[in-house]
Amino acid sequence: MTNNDDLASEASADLRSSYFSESLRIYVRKSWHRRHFALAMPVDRFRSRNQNTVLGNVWNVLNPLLTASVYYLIFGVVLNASRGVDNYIFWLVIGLFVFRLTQSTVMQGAVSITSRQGLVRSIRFPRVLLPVASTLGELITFAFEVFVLLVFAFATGEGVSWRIVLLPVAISLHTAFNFGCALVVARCNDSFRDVEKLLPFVFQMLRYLSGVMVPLALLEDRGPKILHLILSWNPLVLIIDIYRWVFLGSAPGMGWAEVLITVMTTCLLIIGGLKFFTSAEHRYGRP
Amino acid sequence: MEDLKLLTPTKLAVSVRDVDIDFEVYADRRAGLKARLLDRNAAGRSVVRAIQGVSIDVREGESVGVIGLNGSGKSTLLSAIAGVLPATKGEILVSDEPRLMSVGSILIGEASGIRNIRLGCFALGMSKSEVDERIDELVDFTELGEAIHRPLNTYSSGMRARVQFVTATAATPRILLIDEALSVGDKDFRMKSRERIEEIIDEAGTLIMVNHSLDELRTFCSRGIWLEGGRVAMDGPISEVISAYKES
Repeated sequence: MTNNDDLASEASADLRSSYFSESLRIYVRKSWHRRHFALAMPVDRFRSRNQNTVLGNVWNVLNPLLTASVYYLIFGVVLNASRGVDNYIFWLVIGLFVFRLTQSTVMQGAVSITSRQGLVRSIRFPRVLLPVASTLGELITFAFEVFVLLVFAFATGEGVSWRIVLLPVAISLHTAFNFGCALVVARCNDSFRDVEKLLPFVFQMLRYLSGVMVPLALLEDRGPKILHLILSWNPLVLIIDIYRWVFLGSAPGMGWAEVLITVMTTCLLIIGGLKFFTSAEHRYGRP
Repeated sequence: MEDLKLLTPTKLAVSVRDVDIDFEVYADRRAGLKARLLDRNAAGRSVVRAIQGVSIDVREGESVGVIGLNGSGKSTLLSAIAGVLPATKGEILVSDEPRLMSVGSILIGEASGIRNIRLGCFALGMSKSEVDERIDELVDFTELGEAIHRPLNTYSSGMRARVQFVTATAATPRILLIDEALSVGDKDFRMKSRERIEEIIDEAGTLIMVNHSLDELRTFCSRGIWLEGGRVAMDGPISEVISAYKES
C-alpha cells in the first residue's frame, strides 16, 4: 500500500457503502436487532383489520368457523362423503386450513415488498423484515383456525391426544417452509409483477396436488406417472399429513424418511431463499 | 490516489464517487406484447439518466443545500445517499446510516400517526425500550393532538411531514437528508424543526437538504450544490451558488 493510499483510507476509514453489502450472518444479525419492526407491523395490521365491520374481532373466529361449516354442510350433510377416511369432515378441514396458511403466506409474501414501496423508498432497513412481517401476520390468522380445529376435535368426538404437544413443531416446520417460499416469490414479484397474478392459479392447481380434498391413496394406480412424482415430492403433502396425524392419529404417507426429506428441503429453501432474496436487496423499491 | 484533499482534519460523512443513476421507466405508449416478450429493454421502456458522473464529498458538521430545476436529479441523489436507491455506476460511502425525510413519502398509510412513528423508529434500529420511553415526547413534538391516532393517509402533507420529522430525528442522526419535507410544514413547525436541525448540526451531524426556498437554504446551509441535468453545475459557498443559480 502506498503512502497516499494510507492517508486516503484513513480519512475515509469509517466510511461504508450506503447499501447493505455484508455477509448473510451480519445481515441476519442486523435484522434480528430490528425484529420489533417485523413484530409490530403484523400486530398493527391485525388490530385494524376488522375495524370497519360491526362484529369486529369476532370475525377472526367466525371466519374459519363459517368455512368449516360450509364444508360440513356440503360434504357432511348434503353429500355425506367419507372418501374412505374416518371423520372425513375434520380431516378435510385440517387440510383446508393448513393449505390456506401456505397459500396466504406465499401470496402475502409476494406483495410484501411491492405493496410497501413508500416504506422501502424512505427507510433503509433489512428488507427481509417485510416478508417476515407478512409471514407472522398470517400466523395470527392461523392461530384462530387452530382454535377452530380444537373445537372441531371435541365437537366430532375425536378429542385430543398426547400428539397435540407436537403441534408447535408442525407449525414451526410449516411456517419455515412457507417463509422460504415467500422469500423466493417476494423477489420474483419485485422483478415481474406478473407473479402475483399467476400465483392464485398455481395454488388452485396445488390444492389438487396436495391431497387437501381427496386422500392420495385413492389416486393410486391412476393418472399419469408424472402426477405421482409430483405428489411424492410435494412437501405440502407431508406437512398436511403431519397435522392430520397430530389431530387424527393416522397419516398413511408419513414416515421418518419423508419427515427427514421435508425438514431438509425446508432448510435448503430458507438458506437458498435468503441468499436469493438478499442478492437483490438494494434493488427493492427502485422506481 | 486523487483524493489528496482528504488530508484535511475533519472526517468525511458522505462520499459520492462518480455516480450514475439510470432509471428504466415505462413510456406512456407501451409496445406490443410480442416486442415486450422478445426484448425486455427496448419494449415500451426508456432509460432516464437521472444522475451522471456526480462526485461529492461532504464532511462531518457540514450543511449542504442542493438546488436545481425540477427533474435535475436532486431527490434521486438524496435517495441514493440514503441507500434506498441503487447507483447504476460508481459508489456512495457514508460514515453512518443516513436518515431521509422526503415530502409525500408515506410509511404505512392505514396505520395511525403514532404507530408510524413507532414502526419507523423500530425500522431505523431503535430498541423497544428506547421507543417506549420516548414515544410520548415524540408525539408531543408533532403537536398533532388527537389526530395522531388517525390513519396516516388521512393526513395533510404538513401533518405527514411532522410525523416524518420526529421519526427521522428521534435518534439523533449523524447524517440527515431532507427532501422538501420542511417546506410543507407551517410556520410554527418550521421554527421548531429548525432548532432541532441546528442541534443536530452542532452535534457534528451532517445535513444535506433539497429545498426550493432559497431563503431557507441560506439559513440552514453553508455550502451549496447546483445540479443541472443530473450533473454538478456548481459546488461552493451557498451564497455564491444561489446568486449564480438566480442569474441563470
